[in-house]
Amino acid sequence: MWLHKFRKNKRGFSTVIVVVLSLIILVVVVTNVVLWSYTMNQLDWEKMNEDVKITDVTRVTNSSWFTVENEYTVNEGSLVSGDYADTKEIGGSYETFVEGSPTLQETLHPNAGGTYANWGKENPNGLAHWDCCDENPPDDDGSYVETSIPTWAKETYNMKNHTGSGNINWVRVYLRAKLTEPGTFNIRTLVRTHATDYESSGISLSTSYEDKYTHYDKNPYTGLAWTWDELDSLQAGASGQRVGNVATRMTVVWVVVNYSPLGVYELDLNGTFSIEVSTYPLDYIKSVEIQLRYRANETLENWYLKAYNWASMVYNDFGFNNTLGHAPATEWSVYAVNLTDKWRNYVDDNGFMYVKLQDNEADVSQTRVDIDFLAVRAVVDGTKFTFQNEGSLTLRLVSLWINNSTDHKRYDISIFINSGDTRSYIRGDITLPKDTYTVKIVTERGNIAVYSEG
Amino acid sequence: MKALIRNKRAVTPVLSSLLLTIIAVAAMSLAATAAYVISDNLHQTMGERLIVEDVWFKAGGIGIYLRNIGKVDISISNSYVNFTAQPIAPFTLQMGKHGWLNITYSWNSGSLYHINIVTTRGTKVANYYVAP
Repeated sequence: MWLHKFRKNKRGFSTVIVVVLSLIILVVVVTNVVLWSYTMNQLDWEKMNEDVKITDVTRVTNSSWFTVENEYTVNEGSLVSGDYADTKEIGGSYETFVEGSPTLQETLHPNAGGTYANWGKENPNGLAHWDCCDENPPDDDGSYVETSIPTWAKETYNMKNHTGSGNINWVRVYLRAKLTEPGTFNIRTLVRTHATDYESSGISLSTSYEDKYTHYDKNPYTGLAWTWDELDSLQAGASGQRVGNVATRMTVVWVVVNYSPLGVYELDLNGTFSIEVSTYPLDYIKSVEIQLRYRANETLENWYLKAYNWASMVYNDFGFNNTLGHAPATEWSVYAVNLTDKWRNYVDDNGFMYVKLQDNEADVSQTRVDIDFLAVRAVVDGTKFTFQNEGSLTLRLVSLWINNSTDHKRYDISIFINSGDTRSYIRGDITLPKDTYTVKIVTERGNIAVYSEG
Repeated sequence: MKALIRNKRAVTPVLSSLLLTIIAVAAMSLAATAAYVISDNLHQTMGERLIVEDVWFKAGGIGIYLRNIGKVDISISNSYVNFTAQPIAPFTLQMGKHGWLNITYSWNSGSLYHINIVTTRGTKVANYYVAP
């Protein structure tokens, strides 16, 4: 019935449009307002449920200890047991190192001709081939030998006798050579020992002089470690050929001997430490301290703490309050140094420090050293704050205020504290006023906690 | 079809219906726009939250450190000290931002001051502060 009337009503359609659009607008407006009201109410509710307190504010004169970040680098000696994590806390486990023989190197140059001198050209003309290849430093095109023979031709020279002593770790045969024009592999290193020749595989060269070497851990003839007698009778050189129109030119041959002297021991290790500059900005650090707790099975030599000097790029203890070292004990003892006002030379802009422990000098007894604790810390004049969240929500602190009668200082912070947690916060750049002061913290939701002192 | 062509009044009802529809849609568009403007304004006013982090009575004036903790940007329109309007420089805080609002005012040590900060949307943050 009403539908029939509606159909006959010429204004029915526009009425429907007005009603429907009105309803839509009403729903959208109400929904928008209600949802936004809910969001803001939730914000207010969360703010009301926050409950943060400042429970303590105290002056601090140094940072916490910053321990080694990864395993120590042992330059001389060796790691016996434990790892770097054992040196992060005083007491309990420790890391043990033992002195080792230092490694030394000796370089041998040609001093006479050897079995072969088959390269066809030498410069200066007529000069002995070994004499063309004995310079130190190299004279490159000043004197050289050159081969233009299309088959492999050998050059070997006698090397001067050794001066070192001890166990030979390895031997390297070096040559410095180039091609007269761009080409391919046409040189090999050559050693002659026990009247036998040993050539390397083909070595790639360019048209500029380059140093190339072949490494021998053992004597290739005996399969055993090299002996000094074998080195004295060693001949070194090269085997070369012409490929196409490309000749090979060699200007220097030499041998490097790496060895460990007998009956001489030393220990040298260093570790990486990092001062937390976000908490202790470098501008507010007064000095730096290094502390070592250790023991040794032999007490006759002094031990030294040094740090990498970023200015001079060497390890030293210049400016330390103690540069005389420390005599170890067989029981645990503490060796501490202060870097005084020279500390900035030893800490880079990101707070990194490299600290070295080494003995006085190499000696005949092989000392074992146990390190229980090794760390660095910053000397500051800062403040430690203790905050407590007694509310039911995690909160974030965004502002810290230190106010007194003459100054109101604000610091940006970003600290999250879980519900029920207590959090200590140290700032090396905040010095408390000497008179009455007020500390305020502000949460992200807008609550403020106050602490008064003085 | 023949009847519609012969009906001399056939076009008039169509036109009147069409016109009524256009008028209805236009009127509702206006109503929708007005509703949007009103609800958006309400929306922004409801979203304002402002706190005073610190009040510093310093030589020649009062510094008020404000933080916007609401959901919309805030502009400060007026400041009142002891219910008297004080001139301020244009001051706007985006969401989550904070800063000093400085009022030039000659205060007396030990006196009590009612400081009222009002935003352009009418939100007020007011409290009493004792000058040191």
